[in-house]
Amino acid sequence: MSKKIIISIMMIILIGLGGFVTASLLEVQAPIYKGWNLLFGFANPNQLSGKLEESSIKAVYAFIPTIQEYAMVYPDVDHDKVGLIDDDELLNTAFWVYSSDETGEELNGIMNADEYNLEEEITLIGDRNIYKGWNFVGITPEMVGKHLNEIKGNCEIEKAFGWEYDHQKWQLLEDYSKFNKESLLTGIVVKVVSNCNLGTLEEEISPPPEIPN
Amino acid sequence: MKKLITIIFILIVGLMVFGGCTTSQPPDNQPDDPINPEPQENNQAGGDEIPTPPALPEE
Repeated sequence: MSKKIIISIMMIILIGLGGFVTASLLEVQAPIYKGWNLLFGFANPNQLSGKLEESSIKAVYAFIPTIQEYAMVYPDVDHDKVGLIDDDELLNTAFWVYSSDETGEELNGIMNADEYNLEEEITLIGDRNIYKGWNFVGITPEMVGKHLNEIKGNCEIEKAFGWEYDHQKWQLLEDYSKFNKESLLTGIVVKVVSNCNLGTLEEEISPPPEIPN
Repeated sequence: MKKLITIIFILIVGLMVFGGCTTSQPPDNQPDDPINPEPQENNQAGGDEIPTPPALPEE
């Protein structure tokens, strides 16, 4: 009897540990074109888990908003600059990723999409720090279907740009530019006038109607 | 009985080690190398040269 109980407990622990190991990496997908890409949470080619070879990724840069400068994170790491920001905060921004290749195929209806693992849990946009000046903001699921205006929280946005993968150039975003499914896990750059927090606007719920007299 | 517990214990330790190997690593585990990462104009990769990222949008 006790043997069965011990075995059961051991099995539960084993399954639990297995689940923990699996859950520590979250696989996502985003379009990766030949050339420069803005990708959320992509700091190293070893995060790739789809068709693209790691060797396709030639360079990865982060943007450090506190000093308003780029910092290389692959193939070499600029420790002096990367050390100025917490890893979890940095991994919740968009990175410049240069790929020498693209899959040339559709994945779930998105051209050149490929899979990679996130190394950090996605932080809600309202909990991400936005600093005065430029910020590289990753487009996460809560932003899809919303306008830029709807996610600005308490930030006064001076300018915002997206990246045109096809033409490898910036594209100005208007207040009513909508984030679509294709832009998920890519990034935009936002310039704000002071430190603030983005966030979705919460609908005000009016109290229930009064009881009739 | 003891043999079974030992085997399961080894499996648990193995999973813990495996888990340690697959947990996220910060991107700063690469060797340091003084390369100027200042924003430059949009370059295409050529040969072994490390491409530099596009400059921020014009003011």
